[in-house]
Amino acid sequence: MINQLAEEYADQPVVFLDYHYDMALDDGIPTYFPPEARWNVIQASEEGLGLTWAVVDSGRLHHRGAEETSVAYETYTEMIDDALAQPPRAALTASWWRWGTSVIVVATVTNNSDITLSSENNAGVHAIVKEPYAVYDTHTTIHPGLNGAMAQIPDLAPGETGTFLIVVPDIYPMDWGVLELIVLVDYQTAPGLKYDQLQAVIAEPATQIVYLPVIKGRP
Amino acid sequence: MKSGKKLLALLVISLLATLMAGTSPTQSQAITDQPKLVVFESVGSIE
Repeated sequence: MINQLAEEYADQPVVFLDYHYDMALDDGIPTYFPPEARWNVIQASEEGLGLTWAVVDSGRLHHRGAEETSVAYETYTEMIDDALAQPPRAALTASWWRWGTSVIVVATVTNNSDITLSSENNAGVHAIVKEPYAVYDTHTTIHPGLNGAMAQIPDLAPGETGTFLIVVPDIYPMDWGVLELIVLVDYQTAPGLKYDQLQAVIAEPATQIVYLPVIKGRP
Repeated sequence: MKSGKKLLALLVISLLATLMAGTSPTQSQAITDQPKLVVFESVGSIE
């Protein structure tokens, strides 16, 4: 059903991400391992959220996971259409490149909202690695999110621009050549409440070789 | 202690400068009319 939705929204600015959910265990109890940084955000949507769920805008809208296709279709399209109608509240650009089994992302954020993004509202820039159309036993769609990481935003007032470095470790795709990096900015609307997302972007692959400086210090 | 902080600051600045200099020039494209990109995230939903 989500695969079908992805096809229907293919000509619109919508990205689908499906995280680890493994039924292939001897005890029959599924395991689910979304990237920790994303789970910390998404679980704020509703107390006790687990096993199955779907969110847009970092949990501004969420559903605990429909069991019937018709319900899922109607609910998820409403969520997506609502999210599409929201204006972006940040400008975001990002580049990424491979570093061994990691991905390094540099993202530049301009805060166009009227909220100061900071550690007080758990604001962050997240990078999520996706391998489009890859089929894994551990994912229920062909839009697997392999891993993710985040950089905290310490202090970014309205109108200010900041640049953030994110390292996403432990990436083992079938094909490095098809990876997509989704970068997004979100914050917690109030302590204990759900998050909201200002903007997201698909990062551009870096086109130049990058050399990291090595500085040796004395012990 | 002060020299340690200077070294750390130098390291951070150097790292960021190197990273920004080495990234794709396509990132400098105009972003003022950037549309909203919606991210739909799920776990274990009906496929």
